[in-house]
Amino acid sequence: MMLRRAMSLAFITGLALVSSLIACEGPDKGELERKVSTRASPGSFRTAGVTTVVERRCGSLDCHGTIGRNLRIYSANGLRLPNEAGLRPGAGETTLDEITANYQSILTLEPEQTNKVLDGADPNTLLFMKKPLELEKHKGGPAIRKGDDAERCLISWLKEDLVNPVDKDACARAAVFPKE
Amino acid sequence: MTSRSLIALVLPFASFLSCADPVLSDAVEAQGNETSGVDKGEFHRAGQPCVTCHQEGGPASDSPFTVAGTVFAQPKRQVGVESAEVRMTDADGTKHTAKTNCVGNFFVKPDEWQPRFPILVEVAKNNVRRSMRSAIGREGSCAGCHSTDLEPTDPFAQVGHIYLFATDEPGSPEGAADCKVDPKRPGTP
Repeated sequence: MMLRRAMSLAFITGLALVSSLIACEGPDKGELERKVSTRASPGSFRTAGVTTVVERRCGSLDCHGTIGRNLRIYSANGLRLPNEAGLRPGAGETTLDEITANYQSILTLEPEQTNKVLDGADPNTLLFMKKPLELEKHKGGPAIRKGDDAERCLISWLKEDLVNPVDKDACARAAVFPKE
Repeated sequence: MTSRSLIALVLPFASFLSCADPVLSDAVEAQGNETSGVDKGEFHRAGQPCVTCHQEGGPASDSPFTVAGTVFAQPKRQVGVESAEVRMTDADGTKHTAKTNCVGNFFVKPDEWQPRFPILVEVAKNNVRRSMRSAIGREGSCAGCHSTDLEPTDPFAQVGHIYLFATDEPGSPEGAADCKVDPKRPGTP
């Protein structure tokens, strides 16, 4: 009798321990899936001159060089990031902070769609491309055109990988704007 | 007057007020009054954003402009430059040249040229020429961006007026003597 009572007590204690352990364990999260994309990297945004193309084509003070725009572009000849160095529109070079802000502005314009493009989707599904190509209504008109250097530069950046780097030459040519 | 007829009278006014663009209204109001001694016309409001009023929905909608602005001599002598050429090229490659009057004002009417933005601009007189370093993306008024005095209200987002000369270079005008109004920019000494 005593033995049966002790056994059932041990069983209940064991059950309680197991169930408390189960209760403390969080839900199954599955495997952590982390993908690293080579597309649209911040490094080549600066070093390949993608930022310069965006600054020249999109960042004038009456367009995306305005704090009212959700795609806000800073540049030496347009809107300046508030600074204590005395940099005003038309003075000095575009700073690293301004380039970083431009990069963040582009990548966070449509976060979900941008993620899809970074994961392999067509870059032309982004407003960032559809607007200046006038595939969608754009108050500022055709800031770039299909097949021109600016389009090649931006698309190559949005598709870049180890085999297909950013088209630096196209970026350099597209950055000369307005042309004399 | 019955309450019903009062409502019938007030309702159209209320609906008219609700249709007004508050942003445009504020922008128009911010331009202030006319300068005394300068009547409404081609010489008025030199240096102000012309298209704010001269557009559909604006108080001067009967005389709309596609592009308009003012060219001054230099920062320390803000007199209008007369007969300067404002050369513009739009996104389709069409070109238009406007000429300034004696206060420096120029304006382009829709029947003269309807540009497709972005447009590129240069200003020239005799052998002096200045080109914009960026394209104009959507703003018809030069003073939409070129609006600041020496102390701008937002130094990170505004640029100075349009000056053909940087300093007292040869050829920098004193202001047309035969101008019907004072060719100085209103509010400057």
